[in-house]
Order: sequence, then structure tokens, then C-alpha cells
Amino acid sequence: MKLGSKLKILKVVKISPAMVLSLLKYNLSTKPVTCTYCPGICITECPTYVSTGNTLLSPLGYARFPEKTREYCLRCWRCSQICPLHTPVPSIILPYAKKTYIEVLEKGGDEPFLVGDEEDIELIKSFARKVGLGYIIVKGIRDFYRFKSSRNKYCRIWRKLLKNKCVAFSPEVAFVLDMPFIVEELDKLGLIVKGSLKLHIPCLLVERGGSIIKKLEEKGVRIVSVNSAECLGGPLGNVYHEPNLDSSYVSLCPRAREYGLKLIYDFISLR
Amino acid sequence: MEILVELKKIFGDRLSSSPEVLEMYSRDYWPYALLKQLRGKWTSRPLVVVWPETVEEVVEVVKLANRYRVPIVPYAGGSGVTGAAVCDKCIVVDVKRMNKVLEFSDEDLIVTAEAGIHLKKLEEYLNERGFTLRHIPQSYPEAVIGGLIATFSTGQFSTKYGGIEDILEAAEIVTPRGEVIWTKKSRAPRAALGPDLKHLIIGSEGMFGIVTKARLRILPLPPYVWMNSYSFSRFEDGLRAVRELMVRELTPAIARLYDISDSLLRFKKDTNLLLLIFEEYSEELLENIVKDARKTIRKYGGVEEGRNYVKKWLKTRFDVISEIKKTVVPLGLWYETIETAGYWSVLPRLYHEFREKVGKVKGVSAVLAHASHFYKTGGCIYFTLVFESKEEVYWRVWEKAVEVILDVGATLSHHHGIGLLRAKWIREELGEALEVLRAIKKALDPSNILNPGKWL
Repeated sequence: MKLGSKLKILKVVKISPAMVLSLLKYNLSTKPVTCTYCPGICITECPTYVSTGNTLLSPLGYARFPEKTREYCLRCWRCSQICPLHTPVPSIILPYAKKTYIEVLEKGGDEPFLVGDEEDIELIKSFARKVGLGYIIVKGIRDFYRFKSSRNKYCRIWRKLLKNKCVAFSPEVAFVLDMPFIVEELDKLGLIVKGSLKLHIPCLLVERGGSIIKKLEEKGVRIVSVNSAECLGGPLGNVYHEPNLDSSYVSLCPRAREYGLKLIYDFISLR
Repeated sequence: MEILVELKKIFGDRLSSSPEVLEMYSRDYWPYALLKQLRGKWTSRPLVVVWPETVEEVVEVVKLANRYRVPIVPYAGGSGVTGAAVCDKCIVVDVKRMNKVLEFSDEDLIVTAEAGIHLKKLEEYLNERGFTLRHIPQSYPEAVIGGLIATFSTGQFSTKYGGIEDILEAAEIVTPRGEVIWTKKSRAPRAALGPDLKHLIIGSEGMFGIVTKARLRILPLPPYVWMNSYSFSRFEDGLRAVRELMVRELTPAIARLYDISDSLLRFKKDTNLLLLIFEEYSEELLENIVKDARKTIRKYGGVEEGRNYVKKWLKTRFDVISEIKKTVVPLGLWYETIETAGYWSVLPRLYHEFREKVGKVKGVSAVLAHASHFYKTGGCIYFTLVFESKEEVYWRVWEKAVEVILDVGATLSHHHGIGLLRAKWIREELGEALEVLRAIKKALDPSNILNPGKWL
């Protein structure tokens, strides 16, 4: 079914967020990546470049040599977020059109829903229970962000349909579905954050870092320091960077637990 | 080759001679090299790239290079625009893995770092502590400290805070023969112990030594900032207004005067546009300076245009080229930037003659200009050119530009440097001074190991 037809149906049929999410099927195209080869506005954002100093292992190299992207790029999307033209360098590896599905695995409770990735299933369920919110677990997010940024018309359309109904629980979901991240919607969810925080902002939220800090400060959180430079590794990369973060940092990324960091969810509670 | 075996012993996997790496390190950001590379005509390739992590490793490479008579090109951010880091069959010594902050003193206002640290990373480190280098060139996102020193860099805040020569206190360098020296050992702001050797390394473009550490002066972040923009009916009225500000020490941190063409392209504003930012450590002082400055600008016909143009510039200031490239390259055009400087009496003629004569060169589509980096005695004019993407047009533009620049008594380069690009004209400006520099090079580097084949 064509996207246009889907949207017409969605206009007349009362739909739930879970139904919308289950309709997400993206055709990943082989549209060429058009890096303009500026001197490298994005370059110091790239974890593999920062770790190695090697220009080949930077977006400038990846844009020229797709096979190196496949081998080394961490798909952190930092380059694309900071690029004035938002060039989607990580998607340069796409050799052919490929369909990726985002499917609803599980749903519980009522709107507004926290939308989480299947890898965080236990974390999101226990958190949703703690604060009494609904949740939706989706599958396929990770496959998706390896290949494509959220800056495409499909994601924007889905976001409109899901508006006011869903909030992203993890950075991956926020990035792929272009959805507000949990700390950006504390009021709507009836939640508060307490404490003085040394905050780690993960790669996929780098672009929203400023607004996230502002939101937290508005809620009375004291931000002692911010680290948005450290990448906690990606799913495919071979050049891993040992993060330079001590355990006093509180991360917005569920994956940070593996590095001994506290998570923001531990500081969020009901108003 | 035997030297590769020896290098491999030292560097292990911090060495590469893969074709992709050699291609990436075969040039800097010289538009001419980029144009040739896009057409598959860029054939220069280094022999090998190594990434040292200590000064001792740099010394070892230099000694090996001397023994085997293989040239070295030091490499940092690669954002130079003159081909100074281009090499063929050389060892590229990329210093970017030497990137630690070694010392920070808020009392002495000093930071010492290894030369491979990215400027952006160092500035962020300082900002977190309430300090700044106030050295923010357009290449800020990609530039590296060692490269900024070697290329005689300046930055957008130079009008108040100076260029790299004012910020660099001292540097550790590995000489072409492999000695390690500090240009100034003492922890003193001034030392009258003969010529300050830092001036030998600033602008040396990798020919007099490899910078491995830099001691730099820092400043507290200025807390009081004021900004505004002004339109002028004539470019030279804007210049006169800025001259009076400079002479009377109403010194802006940033002053950028765009001519109509440049203002149209960047701000969609059909006027000569002056952007001003003042910043001070005393609110009262800032208020008084601004009051006086506004009066001065009005005297020369400046009309207030508000803060939005300055805010737009602040937002886009590191990206002046991607918009141009996105629009002009598909049209079969190419681009170049030519920055020059002159005393106040030189600037109006320089501006008009350059625009007129270079604008008439066959194949040229646009000549945009803005004046920035002001001094008590004059300023820099930065021309952006768009022309047919043909090599012969590229060189025709340069021939005419150099003719105008030298004829009016301006300089061949205010801050981009010489490299391969300006090598053929350098004698015309330096005269016999070039021979003195050559004699120094010969004394320091008898085997001509460091970045040979450029302009010395």
C-alpha cells in the first residue's frame, strides 16, 4: 500500500499509536550521499577520527570510501547532526534498496506512551510501572538507525500522527522516530527530575543537547557539568573508543549502565 | 623500502600506506588541489603516514628521514588552503594523536597543550573552566594547534585579541636535525635573550621544525557583550568608521564590513554591512565604549540595522563555503578566497581595483569582499571569487589578483600563507629577505628534510 493511501485511511479511521507504529515500513533508497567536502565542520564530532587522528576514519574519509564506512563508522550520526547540510554520511554504505520494519512487540497501559526499543524491554517496563505510564516496545529501531537518519518525510509524518501520544524512552527511538525524548516532556508526563547532575548526552541526542539542558534547568535541576563529546560505542564499529567518563556522570543513554554510569531514569519520579 | 621497515618497528599500527590513507593525506584544503582531485588529476601521494604519540617518536622519524634522505611533511588539521601540506613520496607526520592538555593555570593565564590537539577541543576545555583562547578562525571546527602556529593563523576576534603570534607564548619544536628545543624556557611574559625563536616557527609552514607542544595565553570569558550591525552607502565610509574606532581605541572584538555583493549572498541585504561585537570585563566600560562607538559610526553615515545580522553570522560563521559549493559547483563553477591586507590609505584603492580588474578576468562570475581583522594601521580585505571551473581560469584569476595587490602595496597574504599557491610570487614581495630565510633554512635543515619543494 502506498504511503498516500495509508494516510487517507488514517484520516478517517480512529487509530492508536500502536497501530501507527506498526505501519512503519521504510524503503531505504540508494540515493547518493552528497557531502560537499568542506574542510570538515563535522570532523571533531567523529569518535573514530578523534580516537585515531586518521582523516580516513572521519566523515571526510567515509564520504569518499563507502567500504571504510561499513567497516569502521559507529553510526553515531554526530557528523550528520552538526553538518550545515545534514549530509547523512552513515547511510553511504547502502548498496541497494532495502526494507526495514519497525514493529510493535508489546504494549501496556494507556496514553501517553513511553516508546522504547526491544533491547531496553525490562528497563522500560519497570520504569513505566514506577511512574504509572503506558509503554510500547518496538522492534527494528537499531536496524534502522544504522542506515538512515530521521530527517526524512516519513518520520515527520509519523511524528505528526503520534503527536501528544508518545514520548521516546531511549535516544535511539527519539532519533529514529524524531520523537520528543522523555526529559523534554516532563510536564506532559507528570514527572519531575531531582538533583545536581553531571550530565552525559549521548550521540543521538547531541543536536538536542542545548534544549534538554534548558528543560532540566527550568525544572530546577542543577547541571554541574555536561559531557556530550563521549560516544559509548556503536553497534558495528571496529575502532572502539574508551569513554573518558567517571561514574559520577548521569547518562541519558540506557547503554551507559555497561560503563558504570548512572541513568537519568533513576532521577525521574512522579510529580 | 628499508625506512618503511624501520618506521613500522616504531609505529606498528600507527602507520599506514594504504591507498585510501595516502589519498586522504595527499593534499590540504587548497581549492586548486580539490578541483584537480575531483577530476582524477591529482597524482601527488605521500609514501607513508605515521601518527606519533610522543615527542621522542617525532625525533626518531626525523632522524630516520635524515638518514635515508626522505622528506617529511608535518600534518595537523589539513585545513590549510595553499597546498603547504601537499607532498609527493614523503613521510607525513600527523601530530593529532599528541593531543593532551598538559598545564592549565588560571593564575598565570596559561594553557600548555600538545600540538595535535584540536582547537575546538582546547577551547571547549577552557570554556568549561570559564576561559578562552579567543582564537576562533573560520577553520575552528577542524583546525589543530600545531597547524595554526605553522600557518600564521589569525581568528575572527583578532581585532581585539590579535593573531596566533600574540597568543603563542612559546613552543616546543623538533628541529629538522632532530633536536628538541623550547623557543622560550622561562616562565616569564617577556625575555630579552636575543630574537624570540617563536617567530621562526610561526608561519614556517613545516619547513623549520615540527611543533610538538605550545604554551598559549588564555583569557577569562568576557562577561559583557554588545552587538549590532550598520549599513553604509559606500564601502569606504564603513572603513573610515572602523578606522576611527581603532585609532581611538574603541576596539571591537569583531568588526566585519561586507560589501554589497557579499552582504547580498550571506545576509540577503542589499547594502554595505558592518557587523560589530564589543566585549569587555566591565559593564560600565562597555557602556561607555558603545556610546562613543555609536556616535562615531553615525558620523560616517552608518545606519543601525539591529542584532539579527550579527546573530545570523554567529550561527553560520564556520560555514561560508558549503552554500557556495552547493549552488555554484553544479553550475560548472569553482571558487577561491584571496585575503590580503594594507594600511588604511591602501584599502579603498585595493578594494576598487581588485573588484574591477579581477572581475573583468575572462571566466570570473563574481567577486565578493569583506574587510575584517582590523589594526590601528589598517586591515585585511577578504575576497571570495566564483569562476569557471577550469585550471587556466584559476591561474588567470590569481595572476591578475597578485598584480593588483602588489601594485597598490598590499600584501600577498594576510593569514592563509604561501604554500605551493603563492610560491611563484613570493620573491616579488619579500625581495632579498627571501634569501635570508633561505640561508636560515639551509643552516637549520642542511639535508632539506622538512617540507621541501615549497617556497624556500
